[in-house]
Order: sequence, then structure tokens, then C-alpha cells
Amino acid sequence: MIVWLWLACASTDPDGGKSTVASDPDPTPVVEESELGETTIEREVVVDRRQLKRMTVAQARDSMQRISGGIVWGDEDESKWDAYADTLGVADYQLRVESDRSPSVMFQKFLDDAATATCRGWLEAADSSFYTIDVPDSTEREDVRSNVVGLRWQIQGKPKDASAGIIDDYEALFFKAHQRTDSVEAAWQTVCVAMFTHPDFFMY
Amino acid sequence: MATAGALLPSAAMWPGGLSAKSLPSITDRYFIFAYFSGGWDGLLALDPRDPSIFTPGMVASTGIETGYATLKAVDAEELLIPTAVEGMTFGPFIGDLATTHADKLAVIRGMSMEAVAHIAARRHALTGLRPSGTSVRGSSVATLLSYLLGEGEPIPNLVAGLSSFNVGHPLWASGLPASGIDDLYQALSKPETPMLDGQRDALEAFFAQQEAKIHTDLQSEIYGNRLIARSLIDQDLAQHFDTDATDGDMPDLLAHFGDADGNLTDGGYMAIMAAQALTKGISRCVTIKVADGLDSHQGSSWQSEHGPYMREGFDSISALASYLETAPFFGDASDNWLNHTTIVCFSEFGRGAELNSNGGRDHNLINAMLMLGGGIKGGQIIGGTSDVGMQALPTDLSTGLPSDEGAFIGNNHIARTLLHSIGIEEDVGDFREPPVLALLDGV
Repeated sequence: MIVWLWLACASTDPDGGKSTVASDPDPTPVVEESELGETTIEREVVVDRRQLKRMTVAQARDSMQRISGGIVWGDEDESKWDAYADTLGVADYQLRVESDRSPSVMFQKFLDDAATATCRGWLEAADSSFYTIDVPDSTEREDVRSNVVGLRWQIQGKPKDASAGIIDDYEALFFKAHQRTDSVEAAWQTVCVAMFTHPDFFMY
Repeated sequence: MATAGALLPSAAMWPGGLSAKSLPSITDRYFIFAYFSGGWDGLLALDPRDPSIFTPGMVASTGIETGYATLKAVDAEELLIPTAVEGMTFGPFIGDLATTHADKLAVIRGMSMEAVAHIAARRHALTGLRPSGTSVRGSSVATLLSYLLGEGEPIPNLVAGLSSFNVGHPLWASGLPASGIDDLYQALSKPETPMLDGQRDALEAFFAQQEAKIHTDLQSEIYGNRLIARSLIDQDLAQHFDTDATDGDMPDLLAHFGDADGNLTDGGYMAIMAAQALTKGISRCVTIKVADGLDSHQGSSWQSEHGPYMREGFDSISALASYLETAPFFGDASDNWLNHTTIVCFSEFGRGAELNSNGGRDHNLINAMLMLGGGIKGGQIIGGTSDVGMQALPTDLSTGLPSDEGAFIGNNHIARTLLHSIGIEEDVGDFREPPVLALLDGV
């Protein structure tokens, strides 16, 4: 840029045509394009949303219990979430003053265990809120899709939008599990576990 | 056996800059880091003083107060524990180590810790780098070693009872945390209410479909860790950590690591976990907490608990070393696991040379450390502390003897030494201190 500005200024004669550099014995420098070299222009990364955070262990425990109508993973006396607190990196304010909020191997393993137990309990509970359709054992596509939308709203807090792309995936999961197990309840448990163990549930 | 890490796109995640010189030339090495939590008292085990010389009346001139006379549950005739190694004497709570493994022990005395706050000092010890405040500036040494030694094991880096750090190393090298052997067993087991195979297959297909849509590093981490969790369960590793098992190795392990009455301490269970993780080919590095409750500022806890807790930890290590010494290395009866396993016993800092006004001991920068096993030259004392105030003495790093021309050994030196022990001479951990060559066998 500076070279071009210099060239532009040098070639312009304010007195009208008389070059100010004509008497310079050195030839006018010529800029070869290839001499400029090449560089990769990094695209500016614009972060338009905050970094997602993982639920705390207490949030996961309480959320699952609240959603499922009170199903406790473990004993009524002590949730397994609390029993595994040390392994899950919950702060004890002696050795650890900050809780681990990473989507760690251990968190996801125990989340899977908790989801498996909670979903089964939720399905089998009297007056369960699991189904938002009139015929729970229906395998009609419309009913399945409707209940998937209802479950996603209950578990992940997502709007009841039947046109969301992931609804298709959950619907496909239901039918695949049903095909493999020949059990509507098992298929719904699978969908339930998928929703609880999906980042849409535990990351916010 | 497929490894958990093999499921990840590891090549793309490896940090660059590793030269051939910075790759290990010794690859049959395993590591156990045994943590004594709370800050141990050197006078009670690793760096004792003769109470007939350092009497209460001499405290004003020596600045050293053994306090041995106030200790509970210790025989006055057994305050100094001699060993078969000339010049190697321990304090009253060294336990079985002094009698069974003295010739293998390398004791480092007069280490300088740079911090006396638990978190900062512990993180310094774990990473070999002094943290910025409490923020670590690098990975745990165990993470670094696991990374350098490769992803050949299902859980390359197992960590029980304390934190682990991974700064810029691949996901598979991260410490898998467990608070103890029972939690590890549960973590490696199928759910108590298992799903049918058809359900699980459908679920895995669903998540594979979701993973194909990810586009952030965080999502990669989430799905990567999920795969590791599934892989560990599928490899049926839990059986090795089932303390209720009535068949297999476990009954013999419980008998070996228990006391005469068959009781096990927490450190004993931790030692079983380490033994199984290594000898079953599950882990490359294991970090365990073998003693707790050592932060004895109060006289009552220092007099009655500190020493016994330390001894429990040392006894666990003694049992672990004995077990590894008799365990054939991958079935080779002419070789054993201890030859290939470096055991590092450490605490975040030491305790003062004088008792405080409560009769306990406060934190102190001067510390000691114990190492044994593969790569370590045993039967020696490295460095020392002065007989006035137990100050650290500079040490010649090549001979291990105190020398005015020497250096004050710290965590950075130890971390560098461990890397050197697997043949890495380059300072790949940015420890900026030389190795303590006197510690290493065959150097």
C-alpha cells in the first residue's frame, strides 16, 4: 500500500507535467506481484452465543426426579447421584473447591445408568406423565411423533415443534427399537434414555 | 483388545512439536503415584531425628522439636527404625516398607515445595509446574506420561481420590477419575437395570447419527467421552475391580492387602485397584490416594492420628510393591511387574520442624518424597535437611549428596526425572529444571 501511495504521489506533478523523479538516476521500482508473497487470511470467528455449560450433578439429579414425577435413581434414602459425588467431581471443599462441570466419561456413564433406571420407573409408574397421547401402546406414526414432541418438551424443555429435524431422528429411534424388541414400552424407554443422555438435556 | 482411545481421531488431536528425541525410548514402563493427603510430617517417617540428641531442651538451639514423647500408640523403643541399608533410618511410622523394601527405596529429603496452600501445592506436585494462583499451567505428569507412552491400554490414565489435569493433550490421555475401587467397578459395569440388546443397538445407532452432525470442539468432547464410556463397559473390565467376587484373583488380593484380621484400609483398596489396573493391562499410569487426614494442626490429631494414617499408607505401598514383585510381567516368570513400575509416594508439602502452640504441626515448604521400583536406584538417600531448623540442603543432582554447589530439588526436578527415566531427555513438559540423575538406575 505504501509503495503504491508513493508511486502515485511521485508520478503526480503538482506543477503540471514535470516529473519530480525524472532526474533520479535510479529506475522507478517496479512491484512484482509475486514478490508480495501469499498468506492465508483467517476468517474471523464470530461467537454469537455463549459457551454451553454442563448441568451440575445436583441439577441433573433434581431435573430427572422432577421430570419423572419423583423417580429416584437409587434408594429413597440416598440417590446414587450423591453416592457417586466424589467420582463425579462434586466439590467437597477440602480436596476440591470447584465442581467438575465437564461432560466427562464418568458423568455420561452414570447419566446413562440414571436415565435407564429413571425411564423404566417413569414408564411403570401409576399416573405417569410419560404419555401425552391417549393410546400409549399405539404405534401409529402420528401418535408416536406426538408423544416424542411431548417427551422432548418435558425432558429437554424444547418447544413443541413437530417440524424440528431431530423429531425425525427420535421417531426413527422409536421404530428401530420397536422393531428390534417387539415391545412398545421398550421402544419408549429407549427414546426416553436417548433424550436424557443427549446434550440437549444436560448442556445448557 | 480395542482401546477406548482408539475410537477417537487421535492423530488430529496430538499436539505438534514432538521430535524423535522427545518420544520415549523405554516403553515398558508403568507408573503409580501414591498421594498422602494433607501434608505429611517428615519427622514421623522419612526424615527423622534422634530424640536422644534433639531433646526438648535443645529446641532453642536446633529449631527442631521431634515431639516423639507426646505421640500415642508408638513404642518409645521404636522411634527410629533402622534398615538393612547403611545410613537409611526412618521415623516410627514407616511401617513395613523399612523391613521389606529398604534396598529398593530412594528417599529424597530436603525438597523445596514453593507453596504451603493445599490446592496450589498439590497441583504443583501433580503437574510439576507451579500453578498460577490455583490455575494449573500444564497437564498432570501422569497425563503427560500416559500421552507419551501411547494409547495402548483401555484406561491409560486412572486417577482415584484426587484431581487430574489435561492441558492440550489428547482426550484419551485424560485421567479417568474414580473415588475408589467400588465406584470404578460401577463405572465399568453395565447398568443395574440393563437395556435389551435391541434397545442398546438402536440407541447407539441414534447417537452415531447425531455425532455425524456435530461441528464444535465441545460436541466432539461430549461424543468422544460417550464413546469411551460405552467402550469401557463393553470390554468387560469391571470384573477386575469387583471386591465382592468370590472367585478369580480378588480373594487372594484381599488377603494380601488386608491385615492379619483380613481388614483393609482405604489405602489397601486403592493399592488393589492400582495392582489390578496395571497387571491386567488396563492402565499405564495410576494415581491413588493412599492416606488421608494428615493436615494435623491440632495436637490431638497429630499425636494420635497423623502417624498411624501415614503408616497405613506406607503399608499399602509395601503390600503393593510386594505384590508387583511376585507378579510375572505379562506372564514372564523371569521378570516381574515391580521391575517395570515406578512408584512415587508424595504429599503436597511437609510440616514444620517445631510444634505449634496447639501441639500440632503447621505447613512447611520443606518436604520429602519416596520412590521405588522400575528405573529407580534403590537403597539411597538423596539430599538432606540441616540439623538446625531442618532447612533444605542443596543437592548434587548427579550424586544425590548434599553439596553447596548443588540445587534445591523441587517438583519440577522430579517430573523431569520421570520423563528422563523413559528415555526422554528433551524438556517436553517445560519443567525448566534438570533431572535428578542420581535417582535413576543405570544412569
